[in-house]
Amino acid sequence: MSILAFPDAKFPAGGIDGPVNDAVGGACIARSTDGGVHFQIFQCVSNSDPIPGNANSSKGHFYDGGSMAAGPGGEIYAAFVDIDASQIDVWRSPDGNQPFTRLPGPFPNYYAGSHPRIRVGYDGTLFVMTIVRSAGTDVYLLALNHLRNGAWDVPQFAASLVEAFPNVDFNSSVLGAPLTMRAGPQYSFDLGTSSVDRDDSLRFMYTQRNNRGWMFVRGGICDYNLRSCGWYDGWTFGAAQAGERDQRLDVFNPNVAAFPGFIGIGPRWQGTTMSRYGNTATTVNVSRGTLGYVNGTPFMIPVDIVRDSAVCSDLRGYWGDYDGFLNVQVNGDSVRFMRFLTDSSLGCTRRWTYVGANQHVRAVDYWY
Amino acid sequence: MRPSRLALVFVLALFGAVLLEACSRPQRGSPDHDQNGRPIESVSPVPPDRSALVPAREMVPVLQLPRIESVGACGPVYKTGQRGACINDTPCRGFGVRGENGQALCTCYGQVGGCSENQRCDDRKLTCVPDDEPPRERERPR
Repeated sequence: MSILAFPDAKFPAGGIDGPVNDAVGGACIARSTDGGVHFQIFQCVSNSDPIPGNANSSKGHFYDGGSMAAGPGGEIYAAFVDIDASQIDVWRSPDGNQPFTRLPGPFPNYYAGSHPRIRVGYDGTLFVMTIVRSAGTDVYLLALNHLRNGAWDVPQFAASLVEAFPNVDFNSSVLGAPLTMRAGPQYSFDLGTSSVDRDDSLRFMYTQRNNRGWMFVRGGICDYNLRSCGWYDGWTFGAAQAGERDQRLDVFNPNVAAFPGFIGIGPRWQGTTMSRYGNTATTVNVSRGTLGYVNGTPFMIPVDIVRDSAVCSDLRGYWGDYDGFLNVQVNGDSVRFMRFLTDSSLGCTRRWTYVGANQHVRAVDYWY
Repeated sequence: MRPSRLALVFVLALFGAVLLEACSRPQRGSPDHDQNGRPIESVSPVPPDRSALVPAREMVPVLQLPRIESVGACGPVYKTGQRGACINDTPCRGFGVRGENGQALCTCYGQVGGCSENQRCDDRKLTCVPDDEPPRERERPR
């Protein structure tokens, strides 16, 4: 796992009162060799390439939003968004024992703007997803690239009008202050088993807004070589069209997880989202759905797995914006999926600029 | 014990073990179905309907140009306390880049000239935002 780093060279001697953005430089990667019981710092990674106009850049660029993945040969990858350079930095250790070294960037000609997501395919191909700045009015494009035999391909763009850094407005008040939620990256993908006669082995989800400003989530596919991408209307969570509902529905925080299948166990494709419903609200739901097909027609039905979970964000809206989703266990022909989210079930007792209490992490699981 | 009884005991023990194993398995969640009760398959056993796929349309990203130093003291100060740049002796609500013809340009992630007077250039959103919009902050250490 990785955490953000505060190098001494960037940390003021008198400490910090307020945001710490200017003091973050690189990240540290911790390793466990006993199945996650204990972790030790393995290596701190930092990009100190000088950036003209940014005097602090040589002390370590501001990294955020880490994503890690392991390959079939034991190689380990770690990716971060480099806020100072507007790039995605990817680091690789060939076996988890040798140190990480920085790879060339996957999107060198573009302005990359949000937390990367990475996955490694069955043949060791590394896939990276992020958003980049569009030249049009739609602001953000969903960008993908893959590293095969040590070389990046040409970046591909899977979708436009992608929502980024949304502030979910609950139109309500908790402990005397407006309730909002500052959400994190609004895209996700995974790699898994393909359908018959159609390479849909990469499936992704991303958040958009409809013409009333409500958020909804689309699901789509790319082929393994990233030559063809698109989305399915049948994999839509929420209201893509105005007029479908009379009360506000926002659906966001998409996550995709695949189980590729094994002898006697069929493959699985699952997606989850978070939602807030009603003209005013103080809670969220989490839904799951099979990103699947009925007789070849893309189809998905959302099923609630968390209902009415109380939100207790801080006054900036922060409520833990790094929801995760994994397949974690196989037993017989059942696959266990686990969705992580922030939990405030112990009650909302304090809200301040930098504190919302109580905030903990919760895991919800189901067998499918 | 006669061989036939031994075999019976063995068969019963095997049956019991299989039953125990099956009962201890987690119940697979009922597969999702559509409104007509047909199962939703994660992997389509028939070729998926090609007409259902809405292809990604032509998209043009902003090209990143090489950054240049801010020169001089004319860089504007945003309401957040952060500074813009001073490019060509002109306040720049953005940062400086070297244009395709080698000229120094003020830009905010592709918006040539930078942001307008009441805006600032946000390095998280990669665009101009209202000057009084708080930046997306990392929390301070507790």
